[in-house]
Amino acid sequence: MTAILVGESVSKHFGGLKAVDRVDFHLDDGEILGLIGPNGAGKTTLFSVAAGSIPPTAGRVLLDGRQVSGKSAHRSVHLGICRTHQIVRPFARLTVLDNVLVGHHYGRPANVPGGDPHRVAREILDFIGLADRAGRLPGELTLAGRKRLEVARALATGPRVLLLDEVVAGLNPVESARLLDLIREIRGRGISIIMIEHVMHAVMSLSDRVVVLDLGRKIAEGTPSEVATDPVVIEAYLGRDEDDVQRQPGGAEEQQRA
Amino acid sequence: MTSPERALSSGAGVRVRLPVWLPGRILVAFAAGVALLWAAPLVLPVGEYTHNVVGLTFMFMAAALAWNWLGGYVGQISFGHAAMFGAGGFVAARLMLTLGLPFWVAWLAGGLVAGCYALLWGHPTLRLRGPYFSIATIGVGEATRLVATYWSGFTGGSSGLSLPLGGGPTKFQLYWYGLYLLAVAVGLSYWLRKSRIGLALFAIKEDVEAAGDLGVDATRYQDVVLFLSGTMVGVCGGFYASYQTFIDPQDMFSFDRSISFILMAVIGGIGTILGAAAGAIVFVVIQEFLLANYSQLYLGLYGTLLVLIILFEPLGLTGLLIRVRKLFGYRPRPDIAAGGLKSAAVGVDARGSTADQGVAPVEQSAPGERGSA
Repeated sequence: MTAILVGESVSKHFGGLKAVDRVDFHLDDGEILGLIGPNGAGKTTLFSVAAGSIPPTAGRVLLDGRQVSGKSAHRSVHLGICRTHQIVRPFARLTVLDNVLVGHHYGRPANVPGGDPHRVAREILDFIGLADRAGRLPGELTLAGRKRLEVARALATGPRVLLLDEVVAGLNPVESARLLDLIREIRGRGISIIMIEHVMHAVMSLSDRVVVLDLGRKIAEGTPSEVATDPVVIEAYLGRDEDDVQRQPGGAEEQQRA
Repeated sequence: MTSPERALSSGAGVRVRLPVWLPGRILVAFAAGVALLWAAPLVLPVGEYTHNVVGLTFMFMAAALAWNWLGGYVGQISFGHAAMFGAGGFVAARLMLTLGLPFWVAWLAGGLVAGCYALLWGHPTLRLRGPYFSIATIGVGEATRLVATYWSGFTGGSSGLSLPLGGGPTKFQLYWYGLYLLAVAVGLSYWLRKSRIGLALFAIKEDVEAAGDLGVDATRYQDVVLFLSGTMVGVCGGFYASYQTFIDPQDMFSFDRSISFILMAVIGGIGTILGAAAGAIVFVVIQEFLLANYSQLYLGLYGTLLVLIILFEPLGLTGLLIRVRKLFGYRPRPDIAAGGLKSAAVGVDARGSTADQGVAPVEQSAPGERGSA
């Protein structure tokens, strides 16, 4: 397997805050990479940098050897990387179909053949399970529907790498199970995926590999089971056990007491 | 390479190739409308005053449509379009006066200068959105007015410029030039709205960042629209100069004028094509028939009108029309009812009927299911 997306020492600082701090990562062709970490770990910022929405302070992100970071978002899309938003951002007064068509008309890399836009958009809506809602407004969809729309729009741009930002969060178990199946199918279409997710069973069951961020730094990387048992990761999420805290540095303290 | 150029013929053997967003009947209606208005004064016995005012109204309709490209389609409300109106007018007047250029060359040159001027201030300010952009345009409009007032070598200062009598078309002839102007503006409006460009513009209006994340180059599209809008309004300024034969900066660049473009579009229905044009008619009618008798009242009336529209019918006359049609059983598509875009950019369904721009299959899923949502 070759890496399709590579992040080289990516940093993004907002003033004194190091939202992303020298993070290296790579995504293999056809892989699903989970990106997890506590709130404020810098996951979404890393997405924004990779998708070109915001320029990195240092480092760069390469898609197939071509730089995608530090350009404007639309140019990164044309190179084949597309993101979804954690808080869905549909075009509220365009129909579901037109929402998808925006991605199809404007997001495709120049070398991807178009085909009949109407047919392609419907095919995507079929695939994503929104075909019967094509003429509706996004506001008439359920949250699960809007999350699907977000994914459908991104798919319409014909990406090679898809960045999914918490698409499962907020869905009920049935909805999320369906969406997870969908993500597997998207991978089956040859699209490599990085997904940010807080729903642990989703990340753990889908991901081939997991990268853990905390306070902007990469603290762990490995298979889901490796990461789940990594003490550093557990500490980042849950903090240290109070007993451990006292026992380790407090060895001397115990001796004194004795 | 792909959709927009699709043969209209599906098997019928017609060799006409029209873009999918331009159905033949629209083209026919457009041509018929222009022809009708072109011939009307030759047939109808209207007074010269009415004839002239109608000509002027055509120009205002064109200007309102041009403002609407930016304000309605892209959602960037400009309070500074008088700057382009005045720039176009004064450049045209100066070219006619000093160089003796034919009026239409002067109009076009004035329009281009106005368009370039719009780009000059617009490219940086279009990064702002919503009220921030609007405030910036107020600044631009006022600054331009002051510069024009004090640049007396070019604009004649507060005493303005008078065009030589008999040098250009008469008010009577200007009716037809106004009509051509309007025809171009309507054509461009339709193209910007209904071709796939309209989809990008609407996406920018709804959420500029999300549009960027889907590959829409927002900066470029906004620049292009502003340039077109500025050019069109500039040409309108040239027309106005020829119509009045006397222009002064306080009138051409006034804040009232900027507001008037907004009012026309808002009265008729912001973002719509025919709405903006209809709004211009209402505006001129109010102005012509109230200004004469109650010159203090008309501004108050505009204000009241604006408040009422924003409160009760944000889509203006278009919204009213939709309401009335609903009474008679018309069920608009949800996106239209929400002031959205009736996208024809989608193209004819692949296996499709030659029917309605391929919209029909979408509609089939819409009716009847209302209760379930």
